[in-house]
Amino acid sequence: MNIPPPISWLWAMWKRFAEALGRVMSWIILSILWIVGFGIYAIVLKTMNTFKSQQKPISYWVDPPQDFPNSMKYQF
Amino acid sequence: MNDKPIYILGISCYYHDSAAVLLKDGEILFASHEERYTRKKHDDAFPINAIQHALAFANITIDDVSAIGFYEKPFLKFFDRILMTFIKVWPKGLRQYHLAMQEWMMKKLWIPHHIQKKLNYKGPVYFAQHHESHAASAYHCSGFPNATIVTVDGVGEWATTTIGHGNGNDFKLVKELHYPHSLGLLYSALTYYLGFKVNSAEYKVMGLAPYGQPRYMKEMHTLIDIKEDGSFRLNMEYFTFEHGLTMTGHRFEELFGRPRRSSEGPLELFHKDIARSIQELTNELMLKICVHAKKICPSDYLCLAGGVALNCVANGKILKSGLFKEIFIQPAAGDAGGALGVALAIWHKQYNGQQAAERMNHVFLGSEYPHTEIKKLLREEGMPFDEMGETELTNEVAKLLEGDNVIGWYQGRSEFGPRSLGNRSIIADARNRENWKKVNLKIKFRESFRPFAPTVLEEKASQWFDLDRESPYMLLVADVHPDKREKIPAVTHVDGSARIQTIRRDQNPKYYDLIKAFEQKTGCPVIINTSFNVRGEPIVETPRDALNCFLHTQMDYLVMGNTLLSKKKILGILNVEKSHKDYLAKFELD
Ligand SMILES: [Fe+2]
Repeated sequence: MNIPPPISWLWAMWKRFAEALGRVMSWIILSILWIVGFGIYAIVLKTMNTFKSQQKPISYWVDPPQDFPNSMKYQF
Repeated sequence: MNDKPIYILGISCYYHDSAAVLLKDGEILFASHEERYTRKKHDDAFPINAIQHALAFANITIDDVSAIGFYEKPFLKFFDRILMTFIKVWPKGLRQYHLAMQEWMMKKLWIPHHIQKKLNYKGPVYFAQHHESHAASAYHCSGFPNATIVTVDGVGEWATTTIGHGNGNDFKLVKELHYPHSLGLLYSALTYYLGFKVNSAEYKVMGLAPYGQPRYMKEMHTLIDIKEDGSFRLNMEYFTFEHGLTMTGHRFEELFGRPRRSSEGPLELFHKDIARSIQELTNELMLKICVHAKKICPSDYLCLAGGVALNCVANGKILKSGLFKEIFIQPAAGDAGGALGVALAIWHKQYNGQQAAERMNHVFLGSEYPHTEIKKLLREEGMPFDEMGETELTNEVAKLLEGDNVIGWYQGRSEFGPRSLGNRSIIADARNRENWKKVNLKIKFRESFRPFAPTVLEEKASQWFDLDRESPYMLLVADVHPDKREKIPAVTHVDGSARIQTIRRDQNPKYYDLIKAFEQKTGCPVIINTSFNVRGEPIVETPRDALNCFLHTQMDYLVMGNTLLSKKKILGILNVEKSHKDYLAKFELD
């Protein structure tokens, strides 16, 4: 963006402020998500796990997830 | 019929050790690490420089590339493993969560977008699972018709260890162990506890181990529950890496009765015993995993990859067990090798590529700089040098090697993988005990406990070492024969072992001829070979990097192509003592 030199410092400061605001906002939003979204899910899971029987398996090896057609095309 | 060659580009990045690999009709045309160009050790940035060098080497543009592969599956890693781990450890891990969210939202979830934008690429982008990439990098380079496959590292998506079976053109992973239960992370946790840098200095723990005794095996087995079939679980009460920015916490320190060593603190017998104990545990566990792998995926051949496969002591134990007739370990076993693996996986799965009948024969797959460029640089910098014919140079360098000279040896294409194997090497006489000290303290500026690796003529290897096969990638440790230990003290570790590189003429004629000429003069077919860099610096890439490293250390000679520089001739214009401090300051210690 072309800003006339006399007010370019103002633009630079505005950009810095916007970046700082963005960081604060994302920190707040992520923290809310952490407390509400993750928190509720975590509490439910932990409660369910408390009632699960804790048998020790004879082996820790597990089967890998099933492959599906054209799986290499996808990021999952 | 379309005769246009199929070019496939493999990429690994955004974790550590970014790399790019270019295949042409399934053959490896070019492979290199981003750190070599950016001069930042373990650089994790998008490997734009390595890709540009690959395309220039092949004399093609990005439009000629048929497919690009990324070495892991970002969605699986983030949405399945990382987010689930945050839920598991909640309410701990808030700081790590913030860092991870920013990193993933801004960068790691946009891989196809980055590839398309940074390369102006319009073709398909493929993804392989992290351990599939490791497995492909080993199996498809092995030349075996079938094989048992074992991959072990820190962590990929979920898997930390896998077992698989290769048959003909295809392979399948059949069993795996999941995060956080990881031998790679356990080794890294001990690396951290011993005051070394994680994901970088694990090899120091391996080098330290022979000085100690396995006095802490009981504590090691408190950290990990190992089943007879080689499967295991870490006792997560002792580790903090799931929710914190460190590997171990106070419970870990309580277990061993000592706080974590600071990075430059003294190395005491306690630390050596810890190193020995984790190494013994790794040997035991790797062997158990391989026994089980052979049981469920039987073959006479074993393919190994993943960062833990760089542990050459454990590799040596597997070899010695006689479980397998042949073993192939991918020389770029770490995550850089994932770029090679995904490219090979695309070639075999999407283009019906055939399993190569020959094993990967060398790693000289990086950039080469023409002789004219070397001479131009030396002239521009006012460096006096001699230029010689090949035979004359070989004989002259062999003569200079005798005794206490340390020589920078820079030739041809750079190596792919973490080791210098004869094109970007510092070499010296292995018979001179003092060279061990000199190279360590005055050239590499590193801890003196680490041994040097020898290069030996392949046909003479069994006369000097307890090794009955090739070890071209310095990935096997074997004993030096007792009667030879006194003859090559600079490469013989305190326990009588050595980390061996064997060399055949077809792998690197110039390097082979040099050692042959040295043998003819001295009767010794073994020299010291260590990577051409100082502590914390990536291996030198360009002639300028090599010259800089030479000028700022106490190396005596530098051979670049057919030119020979002597430090004595330039000492008048250089104060090495003063300049090496400035040079070292440029690199972060590992
Ligand atoms: Fe890996």
